[in-house]
Amino acid sequence: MIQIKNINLSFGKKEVFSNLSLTIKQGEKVILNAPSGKGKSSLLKIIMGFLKPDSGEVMVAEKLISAQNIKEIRAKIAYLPQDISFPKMKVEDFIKSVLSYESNKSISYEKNKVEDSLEALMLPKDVLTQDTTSLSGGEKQRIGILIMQLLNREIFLLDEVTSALNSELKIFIADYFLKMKQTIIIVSHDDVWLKNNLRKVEW
Amino acid sequence: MGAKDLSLYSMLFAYLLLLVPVGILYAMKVKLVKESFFSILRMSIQLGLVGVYLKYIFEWDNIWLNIAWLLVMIIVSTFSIIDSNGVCKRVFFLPIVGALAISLFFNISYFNYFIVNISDIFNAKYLIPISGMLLGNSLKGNIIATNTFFDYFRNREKEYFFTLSLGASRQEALKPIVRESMKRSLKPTLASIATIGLVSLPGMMTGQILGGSVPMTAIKYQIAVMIAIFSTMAISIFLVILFLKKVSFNKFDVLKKYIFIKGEN
Repeated sequence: MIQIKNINLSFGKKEVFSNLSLTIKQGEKVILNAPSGKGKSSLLKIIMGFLKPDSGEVMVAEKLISAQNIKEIRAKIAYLPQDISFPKMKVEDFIKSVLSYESNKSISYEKNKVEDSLEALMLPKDVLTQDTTSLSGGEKQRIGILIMQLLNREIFLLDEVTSALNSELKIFIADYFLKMKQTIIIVSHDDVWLKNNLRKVEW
Repeated sequence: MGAKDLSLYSMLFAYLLLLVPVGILYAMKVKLVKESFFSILRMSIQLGLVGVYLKYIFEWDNIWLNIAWLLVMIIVSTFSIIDSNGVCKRVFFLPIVGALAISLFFNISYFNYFIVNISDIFNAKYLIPISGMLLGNSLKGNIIATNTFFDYFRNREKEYFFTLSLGASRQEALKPIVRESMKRSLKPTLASIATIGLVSLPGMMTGQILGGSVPMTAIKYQIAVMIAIFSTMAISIFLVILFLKKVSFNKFDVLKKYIFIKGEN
């Protein structure tokens, strides 16, 4: 699903990583383990095409990332950064506004489906009528997950998604993702992720 | 008939008035004494030069010279906008000059032709001072708008990335940022428009009244000028942001990092 070949990245004189290679198969769950400042989040950004490595190749779904196919590639990936923030509006309106983007037009807003997902994520139904600014960190994360699922993303890039949650929620979210069939790359220091079906990648 | 000229003695008295505020600053040990003298000195030199320059501009009243003077004002404003953001001059010079020029030339032509109703729209007496007011106010607005835009990318780029990852196109992802920039830059002007006359008599009116116009004429000019200022601001901010959006991003829809320059320069 994702192939990274000999990529190098440095910021100015500071080398972040060199000759990093990594292959991730479809459906695999991978946790990245490296000291801070060693480019874990940067690697996720490189896969999203938000950051260009100094050299090396990155392939997603058999395609070399390029300006031409980047939209197509991003449409396969759910990117959940640490502290996501939503524009100020009702949660339901926000979900609808995401579905109104040109590239998401084929997906319609089905209230039942959304409510089922809310339940699966342990969120009350009335969260939809709440204002995005009144959501807690954990609620925001789960709304983010819900939206990415509505968008049928095949790959999930999780950047410290559990770090701001309480321990109960940490366990719940980690289980939730590890049960999914999608390909998942995790950046986290939380040991709730360390389960059997998880591959640890270190550098 | 114009305002009474000020003699050298008058000017001496004007500068003498400085002693009071400077005396207060000195007594209170507010460290602005040097700066006060410097600012007043700088203003005096600048205005002195402009005075000489304008004397000839009005005397010759040559279309090309007048337009050249507008271009100088536009270029100075452009540098001031670029410097306030600490971004790359090479990338932003032409787009900003273009945006300011389009909105200024449209508004000043409209103002002179339809409102003042003069056939020679490049007449220095109208062109230069009105353009100065339109551009001066647009400058403030554009500084706020571009600062809002670039600060967003300095501090909250993650949000933009997240929006892109939700399937938004660059245009769709930038829309809320553009809206915020426009809102924040136009709001102060709208607020000051709403209080004009109650708190302060604007400079243009004061000038006209001193120059011998009847108050009603001065007021009509003032109303027209405020609307033109608002129009020039809105159009120039819209265009500046539009052009920024065009030149600031790479093919991956990511803000080009080299546009931020470190330190001064």
